[in-house]
Amino acid sequence: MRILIVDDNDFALALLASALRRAGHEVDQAHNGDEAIEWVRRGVHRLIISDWDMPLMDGLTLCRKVRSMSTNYIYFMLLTAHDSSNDIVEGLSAGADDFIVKPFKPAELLLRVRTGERLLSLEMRDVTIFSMAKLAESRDKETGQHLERVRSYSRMLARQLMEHSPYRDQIDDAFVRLIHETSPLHDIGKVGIPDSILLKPGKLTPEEFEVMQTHTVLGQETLDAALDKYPDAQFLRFARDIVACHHERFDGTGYPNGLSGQDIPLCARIVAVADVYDALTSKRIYKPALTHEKATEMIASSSGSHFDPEIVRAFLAIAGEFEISQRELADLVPEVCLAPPVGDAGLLTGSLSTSFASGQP
Amino acid sequence: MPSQHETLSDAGGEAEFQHSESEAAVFAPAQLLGRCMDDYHFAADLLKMFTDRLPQMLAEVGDALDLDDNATAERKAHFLKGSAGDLAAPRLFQACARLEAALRRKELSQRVPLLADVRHEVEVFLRAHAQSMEALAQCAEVPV
Repeated sequence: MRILIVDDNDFALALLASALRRAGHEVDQAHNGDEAIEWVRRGVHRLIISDWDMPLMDGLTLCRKVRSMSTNYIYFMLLTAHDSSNDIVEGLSAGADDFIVKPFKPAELLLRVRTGERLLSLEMRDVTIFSMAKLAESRDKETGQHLERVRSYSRMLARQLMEHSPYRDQIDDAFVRLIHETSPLHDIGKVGIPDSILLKPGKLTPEEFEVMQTHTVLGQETLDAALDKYPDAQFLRFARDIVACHHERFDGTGYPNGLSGQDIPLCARIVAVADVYDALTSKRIYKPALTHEKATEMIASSSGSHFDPEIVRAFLAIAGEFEISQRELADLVPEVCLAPPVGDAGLLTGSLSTSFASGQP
Repeated sequence: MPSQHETLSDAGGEAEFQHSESEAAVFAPAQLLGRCMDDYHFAADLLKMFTDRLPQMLAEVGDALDLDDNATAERKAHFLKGSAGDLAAPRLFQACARLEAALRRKELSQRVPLLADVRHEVEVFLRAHAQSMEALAQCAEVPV
């Protein structure tokens, strides 16, 4: 991480810079508040460590100025001999995130910097996921609250599986949180699908359907590229698995790779149920919404073929919660002006295999 | 030879080793070495630089007091205090802290005796420089 350190004392700067560089950080130095503000304007630092007592502009004033500038959030640590509760309140009120008492211990400094990095990465993760999901959504506005519902259903299923299933050893709170955060990305690859296919109101031709199916691979490639750069980003790996595999089927007849059973990542098997339930119970320009009961019946009948039986079991156990959530997050779609379904009638009457093999994914 | 936790202290104007890093230590080599993440050469360079600059930093405090510029004197005393703290010189740190506090409280009658204390601690620290370097090397287990 690139860190800005601010202190009027060369010895303090030297010690800080040395400790941070040895830990692998890139360090820039400022000897006073004005120099620091110049650095902040360049927008290259996400973390600042500043002395509190400095001539001309003290650390508190610098912190307030940084907070008033329109930049990305900067984690601000005050280096200080002020450690009374009043001082801490004053520092926090100015917008400081953390304090290090002088003279500092390098091990403590580096741990606190790591805490700051962790918080910043959480913020970055949320922003990244939100931006990517919105990008995908912007290409297909018809789906309305689809992303919100899928994330809600996915979390409900994961929680149920965590408590009552053979998968309880694979699912913990972090898994539930990750699936809630990353499931909205499941169709991110649709940004690469031409409008003529993505927005086509009627049934897709076999060739068009083939193109549509590539959204899983397009999304996977995008996230793989990000993973190459940030291989430790667990949320990217999790999202990649969902994006790549949420159209795989338990019996191996899905796409893009024809994976089957446990070879399909668990998160993708969960999102598959959530995604299909939402598709069935949502009104589309080419089809009306199915009732909750009908959708439940169709999912149950696809246990072991399209879906993992354990996940279907979990779904059936909490189907009532799905129905409530579906109502709470329902789209406000006008009752008129729906074009007659040109194709994809399988969604209404046929099996899931028929409907999803021939129509919109 | 001193162990890793031995430090220098002042006794009757002569620096000598003390077997704990008490508040009264003139120089605490293990502290400085720890702050430098066990990089002896970095610590030695800093210590030498501090020793070289110390007379000038002390003079700046005295000059400000001579001019009755208490605000500047307080700032300079604060700077010297911070440097002494960073360089693991507890006695000098404490003397500077007392002077800075008195100036902040505007206890002007205390200025002269407290500046004299600071001056004394600077002299002790400078006199002990060679021993401090040796203690640092011993602490880092570097052949002297």
